[in-house]
Amino acid sequence: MASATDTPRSSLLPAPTARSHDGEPPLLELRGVRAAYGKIEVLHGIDLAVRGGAILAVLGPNGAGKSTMLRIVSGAMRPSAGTVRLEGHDVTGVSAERRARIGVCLVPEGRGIFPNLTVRENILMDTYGAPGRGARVLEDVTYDRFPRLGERRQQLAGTLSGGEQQMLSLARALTTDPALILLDELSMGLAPILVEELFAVVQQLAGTGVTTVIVEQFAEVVLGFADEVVLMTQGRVRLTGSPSDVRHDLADAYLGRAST
Amino acid sequence: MDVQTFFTFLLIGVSISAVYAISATGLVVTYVTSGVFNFAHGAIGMFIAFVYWELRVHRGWPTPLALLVTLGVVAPAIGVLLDTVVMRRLLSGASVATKLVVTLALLLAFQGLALAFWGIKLRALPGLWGDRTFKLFGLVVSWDQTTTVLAALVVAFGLRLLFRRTRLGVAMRAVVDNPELCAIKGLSPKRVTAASWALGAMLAGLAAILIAPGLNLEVNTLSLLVVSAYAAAVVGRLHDLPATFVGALVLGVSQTLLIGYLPQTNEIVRNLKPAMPFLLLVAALLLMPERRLPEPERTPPEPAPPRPRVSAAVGVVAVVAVLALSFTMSNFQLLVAAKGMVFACATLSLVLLTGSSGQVSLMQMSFAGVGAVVLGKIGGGLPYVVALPLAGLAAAALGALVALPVIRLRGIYLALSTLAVAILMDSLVFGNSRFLGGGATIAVPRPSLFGLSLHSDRSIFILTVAAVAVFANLFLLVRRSAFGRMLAGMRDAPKACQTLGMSLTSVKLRVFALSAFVAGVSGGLLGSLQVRVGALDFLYFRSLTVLLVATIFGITSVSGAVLGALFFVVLPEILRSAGSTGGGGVAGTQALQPLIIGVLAIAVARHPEGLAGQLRAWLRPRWQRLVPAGGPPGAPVTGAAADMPAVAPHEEVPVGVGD
Repeated sequence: MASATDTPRSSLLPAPTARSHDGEPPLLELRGVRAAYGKIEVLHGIDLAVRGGAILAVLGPNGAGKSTMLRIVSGAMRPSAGTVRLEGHDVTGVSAERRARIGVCLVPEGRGIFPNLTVRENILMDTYGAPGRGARVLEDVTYDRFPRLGERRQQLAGTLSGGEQQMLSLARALTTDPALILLDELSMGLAPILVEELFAVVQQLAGTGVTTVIVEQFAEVVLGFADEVVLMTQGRVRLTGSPSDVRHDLADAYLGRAST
Repeated sequence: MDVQTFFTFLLIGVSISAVYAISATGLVVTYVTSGVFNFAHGAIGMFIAFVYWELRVHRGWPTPLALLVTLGVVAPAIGVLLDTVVMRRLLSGASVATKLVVTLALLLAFQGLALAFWGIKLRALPGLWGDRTFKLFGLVVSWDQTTTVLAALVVAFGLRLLFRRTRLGVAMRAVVDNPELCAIKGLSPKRVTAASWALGAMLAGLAAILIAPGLNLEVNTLSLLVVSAYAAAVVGRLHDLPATFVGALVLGVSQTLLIGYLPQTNEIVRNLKPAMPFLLLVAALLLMPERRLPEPERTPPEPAPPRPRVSAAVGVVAVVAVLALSFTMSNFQLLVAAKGMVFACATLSLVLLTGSSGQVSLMQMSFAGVGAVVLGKIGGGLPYVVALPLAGLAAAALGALVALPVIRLRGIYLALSTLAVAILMDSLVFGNSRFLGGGATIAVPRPSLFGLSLHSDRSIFILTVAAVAVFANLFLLVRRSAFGRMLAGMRDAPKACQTLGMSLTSVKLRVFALSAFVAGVSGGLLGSLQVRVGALDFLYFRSLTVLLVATIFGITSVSGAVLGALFFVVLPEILRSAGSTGGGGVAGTQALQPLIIGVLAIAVARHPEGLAGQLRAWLRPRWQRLVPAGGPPGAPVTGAAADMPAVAPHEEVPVGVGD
């Protein structure tokens, strides 16, 4: 099943089609991405570039299209127009499972776990996105960082607490050596102390230089360590800049008064 | 009976249990990975057993080679093909009715294929070991029985290892939980479901090859033998493999012992035998707590009903037009058309139940049978206008009676329990000479009105058209009413309805009774039309056809029911009469029909709103171009509602406003 086991990650990509003028292409680039659920368009042309190693925070109110944008980057959803590029390679038509195998790691909104599988079996499923790594290695790394999961390894994931489920979901970002991590609303529905614990892991990950896109509604948490911030409302990018640039415009944006 | 005989029966029971267990396991494997309860499971096994016969007997291959090619190459190939062409398209939340129909259609398609390749001749399949036996504690044990039991054990332990210890097995379970998450994590859900369908087909084939030597190699017997496997699978609540094995063991042994020990002279007992798996199925359904897959269900969109005056006018115009038309028709044409209309009534009863409330019944023709039998019994003494509704009421009473115990079941469990009741009724009621006369048929009177005799074929045809018009209006009336909104609510969000203070039990009972009433009246009409009806007219298989037709042509609309009836009753008759005059065409069309059904099933998998819905979607823009600016008073819904039921519920035409 994992035919990609011994192939280097980048070779799965189609030939590069575009390079930006300053040499290295951005690790992730969206051009004019539009998306629709049925006939209702929710993204109206998103342009976005994330350079390698950067941490991008995507902020915005409910319904801004943040999660949809992440689903498109991960391949879980197809855009109705526009292109998605990874390191300059056009991956718009590449399936989600192939993107996962070349190092795109989405930690989805809600609980990204299989509730009727045990903790161990959930981690076993992470090996599909980590060619060449055994389940044992993944388990060791996970239990090392989240000892509570180690205590519950034979328990069905659906019976874990919300925080433990989120840890299990996040573990994949930790263990599979991804090239791009996409975090969708990590803090949703969790107690502040758990949020802190999880973001400590995210910061630790970011410290290793892996490119990360974080979607959050709780802006303050991520403004602390993001390199760049993008503000989305109603399916469009309203603002781009450094955390300090964006900070004072945030309230306006959330209340619908952002300049267009 | 002595101890020796008891153990002989026990041995037979255990080896039959082993076959049930293997088959049931295949059913469970495909159900848990795809959410599809595969009615064609037995037919797939039958087909594979025929392939084995072809290689082993017809071409004279050695047994191991024939087995290896059949189970190792042909079976997985069939499984993968099924997954790629049909099942995969069902993954995104198809309704229970849609899934049922797709597999029912596959059942017919596989039977048709087997008939086309191998014909109806009965064949004997030799056992794997021939007739070789050995003695164990004075008991004669055949090598085949031993092999069967060993095979079941290997399957049991093999699957346990697969699902608990291997990545592919765990992935199969993961796909059930969350297919999108699988893709995000880098495993292709498609490959996993393909693997599980391959495994399912292999197990179906293995079971059929093991059991076929004891029976004749024949299309129907083998296809429906797995019904006992359904019961075993239900004991395992469609996911628990050890419990499935226990269920199979209890079923196989008790079935064999009961058959061996019950007196053979009593008619009820004799009739009970074939129904036994279904008694156990009903018991299992009622006793086992149900477990539903965490799967959102999408019902096909309903077209908004036209206004009462419009639909009533359409009904009257239709009856008058048909009356005029009937004078140009031959008696044969009148009878065929009338049969089509009766079928449309029966289909409407299902549209009412399944289309409006999302519950699937596989016993509509049993209700029809009750209607026909009651009309036959009381029709002689009472005026027709009284007797026909009474027949319907009798069916309605039965409907409520059936609904009462199964009311808490939903989805596939409800469908299976109605199927079980239908088969029980086949053998206990319609096959019983106490209810029907000698030859298991009963005479049903033709209608008369206030002493006026309406016995001609023309009058019965007009009556059936009028019945369709009345029931179509009744259906639309229900849809427009508060009761109709309760049904839709129950179908789309049962929990939300409960929080609003609605009693699901009462709503379910009422809709079941109403649907049974319509089916009962249509059965009465069928009786009057044919003058004499028998058990064959109400066979459970005909109820499956009703669901098939209703779903293929549109489970949510009147037009679907009528179109479907025309296609399935009238078209074959026309083809048959054309074939008999043209010569040689009959066999061709008979082989073609299952293929057509198979293709339609694939179409339904992709377009759950059915052919009528497709037709409406195609006609609507053209109609609106013809009638600009607002359209006629009864203009149907705006275009978006048909395509996007999930996001545009507010686009429903406001009900009752302005009338």
